[in-house]
Amino acid sequence: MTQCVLCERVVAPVIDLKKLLDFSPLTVPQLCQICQGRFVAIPPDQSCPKCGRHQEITTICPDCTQWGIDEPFINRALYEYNEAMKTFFSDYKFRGDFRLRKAFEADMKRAINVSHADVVTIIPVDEQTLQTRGFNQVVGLVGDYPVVALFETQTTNKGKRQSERNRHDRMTAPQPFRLTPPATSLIAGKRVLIIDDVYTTGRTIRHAASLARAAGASWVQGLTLAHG
Amino acid sequence: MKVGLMMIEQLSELYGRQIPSRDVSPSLLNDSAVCRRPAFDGAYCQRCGQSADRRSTTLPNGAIYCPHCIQMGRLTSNDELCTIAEPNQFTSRLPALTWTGVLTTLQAACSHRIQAAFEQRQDTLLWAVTGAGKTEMLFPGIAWALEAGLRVAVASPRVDVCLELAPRLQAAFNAVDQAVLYGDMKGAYQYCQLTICTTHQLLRFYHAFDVLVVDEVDAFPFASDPGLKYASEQAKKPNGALLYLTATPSDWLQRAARKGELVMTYLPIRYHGHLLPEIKVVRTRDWRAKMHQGRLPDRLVRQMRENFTHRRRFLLFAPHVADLPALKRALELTFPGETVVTVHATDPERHAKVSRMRSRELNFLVTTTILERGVTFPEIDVFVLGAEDQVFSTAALVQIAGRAGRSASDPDGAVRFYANQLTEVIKTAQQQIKFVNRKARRIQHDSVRPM
Repeated sequence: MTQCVLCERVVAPVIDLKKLLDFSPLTVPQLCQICQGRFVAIPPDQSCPKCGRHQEITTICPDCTQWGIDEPFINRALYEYNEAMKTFFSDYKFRGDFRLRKAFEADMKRAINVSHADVVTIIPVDEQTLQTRGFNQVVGLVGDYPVVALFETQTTNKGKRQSERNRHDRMTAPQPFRLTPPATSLIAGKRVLIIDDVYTTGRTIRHAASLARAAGASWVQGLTLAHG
Repeated sequence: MKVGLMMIEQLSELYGRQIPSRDVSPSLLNDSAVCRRPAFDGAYCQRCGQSADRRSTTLPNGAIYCPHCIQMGRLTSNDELCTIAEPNQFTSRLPALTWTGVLTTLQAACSHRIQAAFEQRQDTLLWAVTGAGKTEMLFPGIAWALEAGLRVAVASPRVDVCLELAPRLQAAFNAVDQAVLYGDMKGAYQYCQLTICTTHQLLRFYHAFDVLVVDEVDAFPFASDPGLKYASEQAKKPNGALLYLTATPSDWLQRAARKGELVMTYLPIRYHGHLLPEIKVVRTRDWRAKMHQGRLPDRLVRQMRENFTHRRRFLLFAPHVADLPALKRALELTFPGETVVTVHATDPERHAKVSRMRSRELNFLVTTTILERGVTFPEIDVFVLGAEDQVFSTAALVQIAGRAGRSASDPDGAVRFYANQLTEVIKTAQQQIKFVNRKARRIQHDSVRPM
């Protein structure tokens, strides 16, 4: 018997004839149907081709046209940043309930596998946040998937949390990252996937992407759990 | 901003409290008055007394955290809890009680016993039936404690109860500083002689209160959360008095009373002097399947028809929100002329519907357990369809039965449970009501006998 990661209701694996006959291990969902139903998955064919925003059409969304059509960055987001997702992040990140990292692990791993990336990396959090939170929330989201630390935070005068800044502050924020020493040798000519928790303005993940491209990556894409 | 996220700057904010060291300003941390203790003893959280499962709560830095009380701010094994021994620094003004109401003879007798328990620092359980007028009975005891310069708190598991209680206590003790604490409150914590708070807020106190009253101990979430019981014991001083109030004591409370850990006090008669209506169980056969075919148990239909002819209004309880649509349809098919209104916890029109019932615009209201407490309609009967369902606890059933006969003008009301089986839970609810009624009859008998 396993329990839903979010509401602690008992979740049972679905066993149908197909499952019985094929010998693959039984997978138990981490979320119960009720909790899962509160999240809105973004189908790839109903999203902005650049930032992954959930929309009916597949043309580039207004936010992305501001970045410029030639801007090469592409992001894929798995879920809408709706109320349920907001609550999830406030419990997981800000309250610091590390157990919740498992909720979307399978979704994230599946998306990583589909990307056929050579190098998977994550957006780092600064030292102070790491101290108080005790974990990097992005590492938690991908579980035991091996990630390479390509970026580290530079000391900028970070007065406010990212989530406390407005759009203008964010868009004009200077490069917060630099490459770690082994990064250049690891990514030259490779396909690099950068993972973050939420895509909001796209500023942060694009800063990271531009560093990776400058270091010679042949292909750079983003993957975020949520978009909003 | 939430209370827990504010940095503690003043010594007085630590009197009798336990605050994680990271929420206390660094200048205060080194003050000699501040006492610090580790937040964990092995795997046991020192704030809520529950154990953390190392497998799931170990952080990458090796510390563990408590998942049980995380809603009050995460506590890890790297943290310390800061406290300053409660100094009772109050400038008491006499007399504390500005309430001028009068207690009935029975209420007064009960309130004497409460005050005596406070004076002797006894842990007490007051079993007062629904509609007994508990709050007013507390006043003399609280007044005594305040005048003696003691620190007092009244806690309830439910925010709405706290918010309803606060103005009544403020009016009754209007010269006494009062702090009201709950999860989403605005404004900062203040050191006051009288604190009204949710039981969750007690997790932030340590040996603070000389007198602690915990209301509605049978209500969610207190009843199902051992951390809150631990918190209430830890929030009072080791030699303080703890008073639990309930209309439906759970097993652990009754057991504690039998073992002598608590003194049990009864108030078995309602403020209007009448007994509780007793529960009558009517057996049904698979009502849910029938209901989905648009039919209702015959006995229920007959009872409702009788109520309609006598213009007697009623509440009809159903176990689940999911039952309501089918029940509504079945009711509309059976009684084509009647307006059927259903209401449940997350119903956006909840308040409007309840007030339509209150203003007698509706003959009846169909509901789930949300109306089990705190709602008073005069002159109604109470019917429960599917009382055997697991969603109903004994406490919930007694509370539901307690909706009937609450007003002095109509102290009797019918209480009918329509159930497929007579479950233990239903039997216990019946027994609890019979038990207090037996006690009540004895008192009525004694009071008419010449002394």
